[in-house]
Amino acid sequence: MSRRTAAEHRLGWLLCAPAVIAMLLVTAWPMLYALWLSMFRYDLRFPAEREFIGFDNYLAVLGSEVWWQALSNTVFITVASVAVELVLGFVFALIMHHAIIGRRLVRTSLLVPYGIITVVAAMSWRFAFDPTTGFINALLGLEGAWLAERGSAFFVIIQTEVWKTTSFMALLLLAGLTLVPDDLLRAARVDGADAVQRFFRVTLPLMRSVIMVALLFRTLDAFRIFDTVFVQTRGSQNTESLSIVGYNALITRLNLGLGSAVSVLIFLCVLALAAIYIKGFGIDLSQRKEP
Amino acid sequence: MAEIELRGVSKRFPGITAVKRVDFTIHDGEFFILVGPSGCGKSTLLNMIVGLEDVSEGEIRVDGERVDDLDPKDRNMAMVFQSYAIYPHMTVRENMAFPLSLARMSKQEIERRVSQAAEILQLQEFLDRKPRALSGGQRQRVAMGRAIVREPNVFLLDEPLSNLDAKLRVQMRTEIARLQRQLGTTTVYVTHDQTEAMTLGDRIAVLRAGEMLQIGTPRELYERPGSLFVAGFIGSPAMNFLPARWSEERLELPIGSIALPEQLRARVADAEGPLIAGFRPDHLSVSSDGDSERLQFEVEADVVEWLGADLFVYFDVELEGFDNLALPEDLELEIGNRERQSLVARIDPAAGVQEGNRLKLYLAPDRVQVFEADSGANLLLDV
Amino acid sequence: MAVGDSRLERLFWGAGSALVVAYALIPVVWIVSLSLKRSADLGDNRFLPQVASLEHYAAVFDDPQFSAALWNSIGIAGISTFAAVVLGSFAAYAIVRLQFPGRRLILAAALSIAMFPPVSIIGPLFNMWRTLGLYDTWPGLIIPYMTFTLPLAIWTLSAFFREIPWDLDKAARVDGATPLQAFLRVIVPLAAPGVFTAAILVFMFAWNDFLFAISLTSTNDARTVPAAIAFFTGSSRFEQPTGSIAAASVVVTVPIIIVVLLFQRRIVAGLTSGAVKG
Repeated sequence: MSRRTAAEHRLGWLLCAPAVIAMLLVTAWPMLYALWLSMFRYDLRFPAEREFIGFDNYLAVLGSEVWWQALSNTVFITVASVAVELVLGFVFALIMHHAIIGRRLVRTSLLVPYGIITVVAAMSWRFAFDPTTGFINALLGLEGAWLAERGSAFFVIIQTEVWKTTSFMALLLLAGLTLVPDDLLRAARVDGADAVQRFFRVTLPLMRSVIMVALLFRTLDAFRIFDTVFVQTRGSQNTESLSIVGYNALITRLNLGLGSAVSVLIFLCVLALAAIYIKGFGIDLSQRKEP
Repeated sequence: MAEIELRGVSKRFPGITAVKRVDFTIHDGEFFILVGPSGCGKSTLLNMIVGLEDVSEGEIRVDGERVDDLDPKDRNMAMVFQSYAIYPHMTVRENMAFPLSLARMSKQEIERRVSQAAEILQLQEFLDRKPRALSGGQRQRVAMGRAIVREPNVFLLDEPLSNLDAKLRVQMRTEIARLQRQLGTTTVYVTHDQTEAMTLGDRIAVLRAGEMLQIGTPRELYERPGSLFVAGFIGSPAMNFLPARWSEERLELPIGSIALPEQLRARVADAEGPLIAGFRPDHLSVSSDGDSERLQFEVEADVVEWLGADLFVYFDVELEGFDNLALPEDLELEIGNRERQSLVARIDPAAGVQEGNRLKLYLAPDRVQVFEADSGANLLLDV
Repeated sequence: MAVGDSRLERLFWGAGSALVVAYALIPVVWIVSLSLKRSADLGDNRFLPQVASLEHYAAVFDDPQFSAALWNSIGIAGISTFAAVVLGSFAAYAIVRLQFPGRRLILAAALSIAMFPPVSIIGPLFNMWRTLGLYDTWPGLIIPYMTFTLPLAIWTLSAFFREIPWDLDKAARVDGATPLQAFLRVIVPLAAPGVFTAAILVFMFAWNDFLFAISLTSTNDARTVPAAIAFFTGSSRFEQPTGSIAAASVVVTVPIIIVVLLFQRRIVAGLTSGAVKG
């Protein structure tokens, strides 16, 4: 190795070091610390009872109704919202792709849900569905308290998530749509494909990698859902998500041992999801343009 | 087999008329070229024939049947795009099979046609490759293959060779010509390259700013251009142009004056505005060949290009006393300045001319075309 | 423009656009309208206020809790953004411009942190911050915000930096500029739009965060707006603070909407740069 390349390697590492160290210190280190804490009985309200108990916390979590309920709630919210977002995102993207006048207006409007604070969005929808302050019941001629029942509470939560994040999906998909050359669609038309066949046999396959990346990001994001649930139901009506369970154990009840076990399990779930996407659906993130 | 008939076809986009009331008939089995500078409306015309653009006005008939309200898939035409438009997610085989599977053809028939097309285009060994693993020329062939498997009534080609390098372009050009003769399918070919137009076409249509200027065989366009634009567009190197005037029953040019045949004199005399004379580089020679009628003038060779079989001599002509030469801008010809105009002669390489040499050139008067500068009309053409 | 759109199709897509715009904006219009209703009208179930009143805005700005939260939010998000963009620029520059082993590893690490669940580390951070005295302080939030936005910053910046014709500084040197001049007058202006875009995206993230804000703070010392809004208590225990929440929500939403209006092209480019290219 020449001196010049050695110097270049050093400079490269030097420039990356602050960012890498920060990322390791604030994620990897606490994660390991959580792993350590999860092996202890450790409740901040009773610090004296701290004691190494091995995997007992995990057994406690995995043996509890709350965990499995929260897991299934989270999976349900994730699957439902991501599925709706994908379809709606495609519709929005196609509208933006085809609208000649007003494309800018649509794009700007869609950025508003993306930019708005999640807590504010959740509040706005909560008030909108609220039977005393809201306009939705009046509009639909209904009287129920949406957030007081499990099914309708899920509906409100999922619809808030969809509203907030469909923009992201739509903008990614729009960018993907513009990558499909116009000539290919014209060629397909001449080859005898109708609009539906053009979409499914040309547009969709060409957008595969964009769709997969968008789904991966959105799935992992939805799986971590916290803000909306916290603001709208705070987990009541049996709508707790995994993040709510973790928060309650760690911050509300100050049970660091048990809470850390929940944390580690959530981390493993996310890891598994990412692995499924990357291996299972063959998203090759490294295949993207080498910087 | 198909004869395509266009009657009064126009295309208007917001703010611009891309094609203006075009009429012509493309005969069955003909290799028909649409040529013109960029933006002349040739691609729009092709898109209207295949059905990718609606016709604003007029009608298109194939074998007497109106097609202009049909969807492209019902016209049984195949098209090759400038970008090739090969589906990147399909293999070569899938690309060629795509139109056939959309037409719900049987597996065996698809297989038969694809392998036949692959054989014609020598694509057999690439059938299972993805397009990105192919060279430019191979992609071009895949695009051709996808067109011929359909056994369509008409082939439409939109500048199919413009993305290839010069050598491959010549090779593919002959291949396309051979293929068309072999299949005998009516073919419409769009290009801005007049060499392609001349070498490939049975007939050529020259378009400019949405208007059809002239339709004819390559020879007709070369020898009897109807207008200044066609004269300048067809032929390489381009026709030489000089300002001219009618004086004492003779046509005066900066290089001398010539007599015109009796029957043409009146027409030139009646012309309005300034005149432009044109003659092709190959109509200049270094000997009179015993023809005493030839105009003789002396020039100094400015640049000499020796191409083996040809020798091009570039020289300047003083324009003193003549009007400024105003040529159409979209011809993109090199126009000299007010005082001089640069011309070129193609002469026998045996003449051995060197740069800076003075030489005598001869021009036969009957080779000279005379145009009205303002209208661009060719005055010597018996229209 | 898409292939062969007829007038009818244009009408169809136009109507679709109108629906999308309505869908995107209705909750925003709603919260604005709610914030303008008089306290007495809050329960009238109407979409628009009968009479517009600014009483809730007066109330939130009188509330020391809200102004403290606003100040905390601006300060914490601003400093986090600055730090993330500076560190991210160093890393992105190195990744784009220098050859060294581990470049791809850094990008992969950044990507995995983007997928990392924050809830998994709030417990340890809570415990560590209490020991280190960072609990309920600005740095206590700045550090996790900076870290969690670094992946976004690095990816966006490398995508932008890749497009910069870096050789231009050589041209500037040949034209007689000193290295510093070449950097300041050629490279900086070229890199600035990308850096700015990354800054907007990072700021939006930090401005939006809720989980860290409620887990790592407890008082007005560092509590940010999202946390304050969620825990609004209102002027009296019996009064629903709906109006105040709405007014506070509007106040923190307005800056975002202005940024979106001004820089929509940039934001879209930044959002899609990492995911779509290549």
